Amino acid sequence: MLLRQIIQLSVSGIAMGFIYALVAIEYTLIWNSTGLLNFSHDKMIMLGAYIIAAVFFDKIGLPVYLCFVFSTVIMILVGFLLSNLVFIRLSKLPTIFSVMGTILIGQIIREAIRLWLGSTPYAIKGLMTGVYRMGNIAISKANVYIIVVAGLVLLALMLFINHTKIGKAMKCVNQNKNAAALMGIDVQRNIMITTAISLVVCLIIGFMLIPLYGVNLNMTSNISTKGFAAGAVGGFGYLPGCIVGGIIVGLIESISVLAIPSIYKDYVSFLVLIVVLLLKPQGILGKKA
Amino acid sequence: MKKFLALLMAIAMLLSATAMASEAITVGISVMKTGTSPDDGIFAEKGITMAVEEINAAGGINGRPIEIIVEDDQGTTEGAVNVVNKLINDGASFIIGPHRSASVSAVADILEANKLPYITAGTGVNLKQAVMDGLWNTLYFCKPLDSMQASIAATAVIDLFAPGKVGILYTSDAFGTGAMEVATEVFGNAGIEVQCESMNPDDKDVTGQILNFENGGCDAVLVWVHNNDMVVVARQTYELGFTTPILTSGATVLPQVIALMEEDWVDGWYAVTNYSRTSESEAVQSFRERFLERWEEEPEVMSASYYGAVYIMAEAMKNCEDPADSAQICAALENVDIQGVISRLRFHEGTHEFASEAFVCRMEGLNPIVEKAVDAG
Repeated sequence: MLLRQIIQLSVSGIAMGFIYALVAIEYTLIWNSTGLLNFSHDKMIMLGAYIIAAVFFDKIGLPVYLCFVFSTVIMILVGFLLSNLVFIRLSKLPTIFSVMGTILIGQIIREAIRLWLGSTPYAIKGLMTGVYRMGNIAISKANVYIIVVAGLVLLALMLFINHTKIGKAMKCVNQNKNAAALMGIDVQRNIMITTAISLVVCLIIGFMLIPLYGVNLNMTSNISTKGFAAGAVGGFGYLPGCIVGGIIVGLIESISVLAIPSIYKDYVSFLVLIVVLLLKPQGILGKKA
Repeated sequence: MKKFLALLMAIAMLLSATAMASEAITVGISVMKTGTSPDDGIFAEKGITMAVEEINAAGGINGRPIEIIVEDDQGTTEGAVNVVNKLINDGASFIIGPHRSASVSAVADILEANKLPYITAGTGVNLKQAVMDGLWNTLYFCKPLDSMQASIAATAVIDLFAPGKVGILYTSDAFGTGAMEVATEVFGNAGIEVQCESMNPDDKDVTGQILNFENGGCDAVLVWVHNNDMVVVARQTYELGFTTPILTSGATVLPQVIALMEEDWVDGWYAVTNYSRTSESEAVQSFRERFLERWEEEPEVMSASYYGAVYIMAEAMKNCEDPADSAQICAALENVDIQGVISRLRFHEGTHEFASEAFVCRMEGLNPIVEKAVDAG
């Protein structure tokens, strides 16, 4: 019975861990390109989920795969707009103002969604539902899809950043914007591309959250802070660190209910964050931000 | 000349009396149209608006129309304080809302100081205690309190499943914790062992809690969580193949929650609610028809509860010499006894509750079927 419990909890913990890892990477992408801590991306995840489920699926009635394609285009455009109108400008302000700015952008996005699409939740029924059963172990298909899709996205992102011209330019901009500009890299264009990629990652996270929680105005609460914790635990600004951090946070908080009352589950990840910050501030994989 | 002056005075008095009679009675509405649960506030506003429209169409309160001022309190304590202060300045004779128990606590002293009556569907156990202790004398409740509903739910669990051990899954806020404490007491008095597991609001994974119930050998589970959390619980209990009987709070039967669930998830579950669209009650069906016609959507418990709040207020005002006088309204509220949608609405001395009925529903797929009505009054 205990083994079954450990396996069940591990699967859901790893699935949530991959979500946290993607959130941490989204933090990292914006941080690396603009030096901005974006605390509005939970709302951007929500925006992605609403565009897919409410706009294209519910209102327009497209099949799910087309909803995803059109939503990707929209999110890329939103990314270009946000980077030009907000992020580039905010990144030039002192950190306290820029962080506040991103929080306010998040609130604007949330209220705009509410005014535009209403406060009634949306769902895509049948999306990633069902279970795989192995003996007395039941593994949710949604969790399996999340692990596979998130794993593929993480792999694609790492390949893109390390092996493409644009990705290498992103790394240069991260290291030194002035030097990158002197070497002929269009820094502003690079920030636009990074933000657009980040928004597409938000869309993917939002899409994967739909079967877990439906689409509502609170669907991303806690995810932002846990994603931040995942990034800091693994190594902020470092992609492999985000993955390791995400899985550690997801697993620990999930399995913790075997040992401690479930009411404390959410706090475990933050406790881990504090311990890591005290013992190894640069994160477990040891890369400096 | 004297006759002319007397005539003028008579005309002036007549005009004044006419103006007084047609002068609108200002009622302030504090609802959360934004924030974390805007749909609750929007449904509440629709119920209130519909009731006011009906009353005004029927001639108002002793010939005077009701005018409502609706303000968004965002479901926060700061928002509620700002809204209530504004409504007082706007000359409200009566206030409906705020809804959240924490918001009610935040504005209670202000309204008590102004001797302004207000009615809420916020149902925290602490509010009832404050009323019973005589701290907040102008606070009234239009919906059965959490303590009453949790007690009905726990009793229903015992009646339906005759369990030796019960699991309670609750949200770790005042809503869930208050219900858990009441239910634990009911089960304890019946000699039933209890295993409690909590979830934080908006938690995305309750696998651990469900498996703990399974390992603990619970014969039935009482689930007392918020709307979106109920969807998570339903999906995960189904996916884990958890077959233990489940009875829940009213979230399961809300249309906005049902819209997010699939038939197999909650088939065979039970829920305790104050409003069910499948109730055969004439009051429910009549209200539902009118609501559908007015708003082109299915009403739910918030709209039904706050619709009743307006009628409670109107009934009291009708029996006042001056229906805009707050002190007279408070006195008249004590004599209210009318048939509402969610319940017979009659004043309960001591607790200031008006509603005391609830339905126990059984889910057939996504269709809530009323099994029985319970009056805990």
